[in-house]
Amino acid sequence: MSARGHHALLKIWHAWIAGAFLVAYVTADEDTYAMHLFAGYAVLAAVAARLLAGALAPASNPLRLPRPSLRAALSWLAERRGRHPLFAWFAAVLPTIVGISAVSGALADGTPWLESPHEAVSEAALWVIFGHIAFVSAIYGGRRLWRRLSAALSGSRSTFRSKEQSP
Amino acid sequence: MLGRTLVYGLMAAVLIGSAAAVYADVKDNGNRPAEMPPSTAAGQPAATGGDGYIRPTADRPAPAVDETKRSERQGESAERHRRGHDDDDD
Repeated sequence: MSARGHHALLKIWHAWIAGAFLVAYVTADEDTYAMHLFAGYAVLAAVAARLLAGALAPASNPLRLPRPSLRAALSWLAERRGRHPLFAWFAAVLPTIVGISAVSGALADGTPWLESPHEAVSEAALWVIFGHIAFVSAIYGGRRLWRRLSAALSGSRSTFRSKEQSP
Repeated sequence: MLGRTLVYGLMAAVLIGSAAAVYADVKDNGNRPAEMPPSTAAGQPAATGGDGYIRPTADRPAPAVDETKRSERQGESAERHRRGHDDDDD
């Protein structure tokens, strides 16, 4: 399979886990418990599929599991070159915390005392997801937004100056 | 790219949510107790009022209560939430 195919698989998997988590979060109520259970197992299946794909993928394959490194992060901070280290950290932390949430939820189905820890981990996972969205938006959309803002500001500044200079 | 990622995630959420709703519906229909026609101990139809509604009689057996794990947990969970909730919550 080509690299493009692997990236397509990653996108499909990303949509799967994100969509399933969204449904599970929204249906986390006693009235929609069956839906919550279904979506939760969909999340668990997505995490399991990712672990399996990552374990079987050869080295330098996009499906390989990320290995965040503190040393790499420190050297990036010093030199500001190469891929941002938070990519690898989010790629490792997110499936981990979402996986813990899914596993605790599956166990809570038969062990009621796990419901509160499951809820706590799921709320924490949501904040990690918000951080991930903010980071990706800043990396991919932030530069374009900054350029637009700068262009808008410089355009309005030149308009203001020309109005000042005109009689 | 960001927009497409969000759209794919929402599409997946719609698909999974639909499947979850179908699953919940099938599960509810399976758990619902069978609707038996009410009858007396002698097997005669239960008494109806003049308006056609079945009225409980001494002979009519109590309906079976299907104590599924879900309904027990719902009851416990609902009670826990009621204790912790104010009137203006939800």
